[in-house]
Amino acid sequence: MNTTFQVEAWSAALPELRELFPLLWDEVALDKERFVSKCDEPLYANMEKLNMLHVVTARKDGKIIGYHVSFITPHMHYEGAGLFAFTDMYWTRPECRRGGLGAKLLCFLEQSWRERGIVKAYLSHKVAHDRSELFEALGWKPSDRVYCKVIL
Amino acid sequence: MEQKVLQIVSEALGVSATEETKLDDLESLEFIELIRELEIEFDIRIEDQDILGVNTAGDAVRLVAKKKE
Repeated sequence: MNTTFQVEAWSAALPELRELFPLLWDEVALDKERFVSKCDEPLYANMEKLNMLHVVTARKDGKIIGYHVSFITPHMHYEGAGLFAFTDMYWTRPECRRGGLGAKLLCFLEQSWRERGIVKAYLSHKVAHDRSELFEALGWKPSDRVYCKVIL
Repeated sequence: MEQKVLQIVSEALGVSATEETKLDDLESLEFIELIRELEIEFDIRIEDQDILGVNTAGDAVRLVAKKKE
């Protein structure tokens, strides 16, 4: 069966996503000894109520094999400019990554953002998991270089 | 046209491709580079939604044929 791509409600996808979040964390998270994977589900639920979440999934045989979650909000620097999308997290099952799954997920995502009226989107990758060539091949431009530091 | 598409897919995969050949061995970047190569070779524009169903060399042949109509 071929892979399907769809926009899903956060609450509908959550039972499956809940089991996948630790796999994302295990693969890419930094400062693991300090920040352990534990999704703040009430906070996400509130964001869903405010229509501020955008969830895209890739499914094969009904099972989620990839997902992308973004926050949808107006940009406070650009009043009246429309809605912006800020990537929260994305992941694909390692055993399913061949065959262009990531590229297809991103292409579907962009189309779904467009249909939702998103005017600009932000996407990033971990330094240790460089996806810049793929992103740029899909028309994304590098913008910020993000740094992090544990403060307390 | 079909033979040219199969030739391009074969070069991307590094093995001789038939219409039944799956594109599973391509990484995402290689997959997009294949799509771009088809766009250039056949002077067509392949939209995002078009690539979602490209899983085999035959899918690529049919997509190019559709775009050339």
